[in-house]
Amino acid sequence: MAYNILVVDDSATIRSVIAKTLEIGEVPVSELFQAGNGQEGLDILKNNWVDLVFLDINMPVMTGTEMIDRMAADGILSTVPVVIVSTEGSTTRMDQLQAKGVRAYLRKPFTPEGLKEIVDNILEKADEQ
Amino acid sequence: MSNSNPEEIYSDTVREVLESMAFVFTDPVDASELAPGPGPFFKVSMHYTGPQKGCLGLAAPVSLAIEMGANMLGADESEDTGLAADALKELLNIICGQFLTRYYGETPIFDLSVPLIQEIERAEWGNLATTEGALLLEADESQIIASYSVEPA
Repeated sequence: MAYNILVVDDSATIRSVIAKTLEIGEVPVSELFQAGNGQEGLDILKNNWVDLVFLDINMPVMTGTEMIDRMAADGILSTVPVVIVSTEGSTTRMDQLQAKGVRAYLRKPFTPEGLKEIVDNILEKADEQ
Repeated sequence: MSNSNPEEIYSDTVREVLESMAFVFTDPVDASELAPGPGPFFKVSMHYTGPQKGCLGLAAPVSLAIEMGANMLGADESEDTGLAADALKELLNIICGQFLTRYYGETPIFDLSVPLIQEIERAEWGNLATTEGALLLEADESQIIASYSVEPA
């Protein structure tokens, strides 16, 4: 089974690094969507089926936190797994985000192995359900 | 907050992030050894606000930023200065996140501004190296200026 994955980050460099990491890790990707901020991410989610979202926090136009709040308020989007990929390391912030339903937190700089492990865990659980 | 001084923490953080993300190895040098090369240069800066405030910066020759961007992507170097600028902004973003937890600890929450970048000429580059809180780093045949300004406790 291949997955549709959305990467939301205002850095084209990080979006490309994540795309390349998924490719190297042989994650079966059907379609890789990319967005530069939370609003663009929501627009993609409303028009496409997405299995997993990689989401930055600190972005212009709409932050990752705002996007999570908007997803939580939507019956269908609230079920889409979200992995935060951010430079921030505050455990207080992480706890707040996990309380909002975020599945995992990957801190930049991340390793390909770290990202692959998180993807495998989340998508394998999704397959089991 | 760490007992170490912010200069030491910032210098170590910059060097570690540049090494792990962009495969650029640096050594601190004295400001009197400033030898920037022909330029032009990129200067990127960002602010953080929370229990305390501060501003962090990074400046590098465009040619080095291109090399760092290519290294981050595992790609061949191109003349795409847009990609180089994006890479430099992201490097500072990562440096900022790492610096905040190393200096202030993992509990406080800080809001980070979006990094702002501009191209500067040789004269401004020279001024940057002599401002308070500026650290000069040597990378192969290039130099990098890392700057920080933290609100005193």
